[in-house]
Amino acid sequence: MAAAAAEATTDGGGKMIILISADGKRFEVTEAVASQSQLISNMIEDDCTENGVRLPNVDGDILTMVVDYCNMHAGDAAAAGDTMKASSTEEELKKFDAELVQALENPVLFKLILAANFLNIKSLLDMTCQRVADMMSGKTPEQMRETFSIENDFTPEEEAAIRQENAWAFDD
Amino acid sequence: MSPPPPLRSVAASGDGWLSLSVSTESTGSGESNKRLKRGGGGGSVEDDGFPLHDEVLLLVFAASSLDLHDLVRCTATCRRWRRLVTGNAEYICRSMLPSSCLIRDLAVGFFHQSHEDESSSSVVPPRFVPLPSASSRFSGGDLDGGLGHNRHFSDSHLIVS
Repeated sequence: MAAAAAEATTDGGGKMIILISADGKRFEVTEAVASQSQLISNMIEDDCTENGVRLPNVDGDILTMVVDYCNMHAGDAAAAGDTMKASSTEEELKKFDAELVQALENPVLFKLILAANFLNIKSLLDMTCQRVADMMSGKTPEQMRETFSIENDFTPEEEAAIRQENAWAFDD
Repeated sequence: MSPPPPLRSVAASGDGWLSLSVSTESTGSGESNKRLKRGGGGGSVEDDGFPLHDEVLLLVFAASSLDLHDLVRCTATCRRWRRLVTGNAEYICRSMLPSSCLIRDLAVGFFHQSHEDESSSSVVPPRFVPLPSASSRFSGGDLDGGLGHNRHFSDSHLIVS
């Protein structure tokens, strides 16, 4: 009974959608998986996914991660009532999410953020932005510039003034 | 059909108050695919070399792991970050948890009014109760005297600098 229900949910996703990355890689996913992207969800509603969804600003390697993430998280929305499935994946999901973002180099992380933003996948966007914020936390301006390769475009006078103005935030 | 209102609509739309902060970077051609170009990862967004555009960077600043000290240090990192943090402080603060350091550090005190009894019409005037942070933030400043302890207000207000 339970197995049949689970199977029905996976199959119940029904239509498959083809996502095409900037470099022409094709990913076949169920509607349920793809519609975690609000962008694609809107396209599905508008019936314009038949010839595949071209994502000209998402590289194949990034889209691979996004699709993995969506496949992993498809259970959340699809099987909200399916307690067996939900309970078994909660831990796994957290672990999967943590491993997904922890290992990324900055440039890849930023690409993933931009892809999540473009595709409008809120949970992925939140998670990746959180990761960047974690990296900022506790750093001095110099360390932040170094970590993120940011150019210091303040004049020395301006920087000194900012520091003086907010000295309490810098003494630690 | 109608798009669901996302909790943080900044991620979804370039409209509204955020468009102000984003508009400075639309130097290229083709407004309609501005997003595509920026999302491409190749082109530089602004001269600080940081690849995230304004609306996404704001989501980062609003993430819960940054406290007030971190945000202030962000303002000293580069011009764009300074513009974003100072110009959108309200948004960044609002998305923080009430218990976060930001609120605690900004609060210099609160007004307290005791009610003897719910139905009683006679009420004691509110008293200003300074928090320890008030003295550290205004030490030596002329605000010390300005924060009158006996000002009368009808409601309690959290006082922030």
